Amino acid sequence: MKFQMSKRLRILFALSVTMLGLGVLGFFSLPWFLTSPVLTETTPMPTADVIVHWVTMSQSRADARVAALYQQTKAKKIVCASMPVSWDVYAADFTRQHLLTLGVPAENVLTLHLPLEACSAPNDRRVAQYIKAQGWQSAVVVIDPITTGSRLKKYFQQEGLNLVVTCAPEDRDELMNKWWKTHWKIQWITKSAFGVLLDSAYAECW
Amino acid sequence: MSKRWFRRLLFCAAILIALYFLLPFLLNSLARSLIRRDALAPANVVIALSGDARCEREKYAADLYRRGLARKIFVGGMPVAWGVHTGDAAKRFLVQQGIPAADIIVLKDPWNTRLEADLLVQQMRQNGWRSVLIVTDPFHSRRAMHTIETAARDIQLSSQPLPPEQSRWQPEAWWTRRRDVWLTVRECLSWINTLAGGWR
Repeated sequence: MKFQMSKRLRILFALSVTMLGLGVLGFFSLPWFLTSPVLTETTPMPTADVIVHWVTMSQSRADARVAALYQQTKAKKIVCASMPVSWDVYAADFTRQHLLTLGVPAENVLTLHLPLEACSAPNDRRVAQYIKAQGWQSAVVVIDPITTGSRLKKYFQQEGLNLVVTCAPEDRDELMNKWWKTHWKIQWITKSAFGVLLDSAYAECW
Repeated sequence: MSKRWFRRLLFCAAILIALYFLLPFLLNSLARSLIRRDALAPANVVIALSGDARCEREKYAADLYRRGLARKIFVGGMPVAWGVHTGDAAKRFLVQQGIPAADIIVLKDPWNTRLEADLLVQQMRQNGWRSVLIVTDPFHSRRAMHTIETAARDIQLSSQPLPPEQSRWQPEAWWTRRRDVWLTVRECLSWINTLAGGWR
């Protein structure tokens, strides 16, 4: 018996397959949409008054990268920023300790404790205001590889500050490496993608 | 316009109006269905499931301990940055709340609810404990209980989620708040993963 589809059904089938294909392509392309370009050894490094170390990924290797950037750029200071990971426990304090063991002078590493927020915008604004309050004019902010949705540029512009946003190349490579096979990477990427969508719908996150 | 198209238009309008009035009710019901709260009774141990940076779960677990409803407290945690383990931080928090350190057990590196359930069951069986109070956020409570019950059918479990005034999540009109949307949708996706026997 020959199977025959009506024209309408054929169009519906073709549309469904196309949508599914686009969806799958979109899903697997997420990391490339969400991640930022990185400063590498061959990229001219802009000078800055301060490097802000604001990495939340637990598997991050940004500490060594931040220490190296400090020594290369002769930036005056490093600020380690984080929200609490537990009651009165801030990863920034431990990151600072690690930077000291990597040879950064203690007087040049500060910490900035940020409150828990539903999205990044309120803390992006606090970081920009903190930089301005310290009298600095420019900053290199090292964050997680996923930077889409960050409001740092907006708030730094409002404060009249120069900004470069980047991440540690090792973190980006690790995140992109067979991410579809690793539970924490899929969680991280889909959470970030969903966060970007949600932030656009709630004024507190603009 | 033909009668058929007019009827179709009327039908669609009726559906939209019904949705407008029904949707808030359905969404609130969805959120409330995530909550499981059992009757409170004494148990061998209480566990504060990991994942609350404010330590409200640990605080409530300490409260149950102080009321004599459990003799030991489990806390979980994982490494989050150089030198930081949130389980150790949770333990320090409980000690500061006046809980003896000897009565606090840290479950190391439970990356998700299923792994946490496995670690808990292992400890329970090693120590011969038969009953446990499960403390977590209300939105997480039903799935946490399902996961732990699946791993430990021989252990008596009681769900004791945070009281509403302590929880960061409120089920009513959750879609109007950015934080609550994320928590609710994430929990629904996690349910799908759990029921599909998915990833750890």
